[in-house]
Amino acid sequence: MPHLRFTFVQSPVWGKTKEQLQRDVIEGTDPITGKPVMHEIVDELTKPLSPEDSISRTIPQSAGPESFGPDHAENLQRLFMEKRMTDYLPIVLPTAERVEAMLKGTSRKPEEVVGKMSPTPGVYENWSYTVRQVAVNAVMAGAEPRYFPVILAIASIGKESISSSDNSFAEAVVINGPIRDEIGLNYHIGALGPFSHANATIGRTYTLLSLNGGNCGKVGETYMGVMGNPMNYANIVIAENERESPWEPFSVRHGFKSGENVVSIFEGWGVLSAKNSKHAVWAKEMHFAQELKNISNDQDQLFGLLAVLSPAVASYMKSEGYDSVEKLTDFLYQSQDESTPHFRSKAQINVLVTGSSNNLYWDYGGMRYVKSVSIDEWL
Amino acid sequence: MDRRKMLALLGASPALVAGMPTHAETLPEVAPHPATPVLGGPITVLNPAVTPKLAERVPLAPRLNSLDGKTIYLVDTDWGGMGQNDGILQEMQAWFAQHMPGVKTIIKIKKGNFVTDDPGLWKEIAESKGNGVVLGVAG
Repeated sequence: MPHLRFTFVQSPVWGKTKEQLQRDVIEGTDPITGKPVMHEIVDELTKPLSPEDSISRTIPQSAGPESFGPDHAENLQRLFMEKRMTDYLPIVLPTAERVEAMLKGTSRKPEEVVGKMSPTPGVYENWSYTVRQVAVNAVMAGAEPRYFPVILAIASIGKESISSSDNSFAEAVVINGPIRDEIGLNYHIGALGPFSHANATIGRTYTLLSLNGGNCGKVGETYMGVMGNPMNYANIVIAENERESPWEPFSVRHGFKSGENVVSIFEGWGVLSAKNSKHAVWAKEMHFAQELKNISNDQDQLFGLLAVLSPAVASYMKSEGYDSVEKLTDFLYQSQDESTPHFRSKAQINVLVTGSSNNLYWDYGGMRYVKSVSIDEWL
Repeated sequence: MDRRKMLALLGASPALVAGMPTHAETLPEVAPHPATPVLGGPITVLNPAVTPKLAERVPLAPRLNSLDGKTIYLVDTDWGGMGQNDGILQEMQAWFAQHMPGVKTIIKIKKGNFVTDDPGLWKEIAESKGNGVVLGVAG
């Protein structure tokens, strides 16, 4: 937040010797303000508050006019890029007619506030956004009105898809319920790839909304990712393959009714093929659950484990005796040698099922579960 | 478990599954966007980033007139939850001891990681009558 008192130090801090810390950090200067670090910290603790610092109020903020134009489409495409309102790919220009059509995808009123978001909660002030603003971003992403309830549910959670963190985090969106078939979400071959209009544009809307509704992604100001993350383009959209999964849907395991449409958010490093791990073996005799356990125990503990299994691999695990995800989670959580479990809690272990069964590949990553909400409330 | 046996249990061979139509092939056609403007004609579009107002701003805690004789907590957020990155706070503590010996500093490492809260620590600091906190992420 602009009025919070920060001192930045020369990064990175970890990995430095005592002497390097003294010379580069403690005796160094704030790379943003140029002031000596320790003197600045003392000032921040003792400098009197301004009237602005002392009051609690709502800060008005405008990001420009309500509309742009009239102008030619090519100029408007360029304008949106220059204002950093896009992912640098062409957008569908959000005319009033298109936005009105998108608004027909929900019964909610256009001026209703859907949620609020910031590039990092508690560090930057929240921006709030209305149903209409979400619709503008959904049009830009190329989404259809029938996807809009899913998009509004994602927006209502208020979790940024592009964190300001220098870690270059990625977000995953998990969708359960019959709406997956009703709007054509892909949960078969290529489930996590760019092979469905619904998956692609719902995910892209989440990114555009984070840029424009959440003040995210302004490089050097609200985005500091060292490497960036290609999953930020359209996020990781996971419609569960409920029909072929041997287990209950993720949403049902988290307290929602069977048949209820639900969206859930995960945050972390992203996912990659389990074949990347030395523990993913190709042998005549397999123990898939043990393989998953070996891989998870090699992971960093920060975000826990998100395993995205194909129906075939999940069915193998069921045949190995894990007839519920709870039973599988118990096995994954238990330490092998009576020592402290690798993860802090069973809640750090999450399992999803999607994709096809034409081979035995599956994905995993360090991603934490954030929250689930009903999509039906946004129909 | 034998892989071929398991595939048989699943009721499909890789070859059979590979020959099945993909879900993408069965998806409904994408509807065209309404009111597509005439190519080249000037149009007006809506701003996706208009924000009527920001959330409420929280007032800052009162500042200290001087740090002399005060207790300042140096708190590591323990970003990654490994409890190994408080070296910078140790050097900060050493700086206070050398340059401002009238300031008492206490180093604390927050439990959990950067996405978890530690209400017990905030309570401990409040009850011990700490005068100020420097909260840091070391990474």
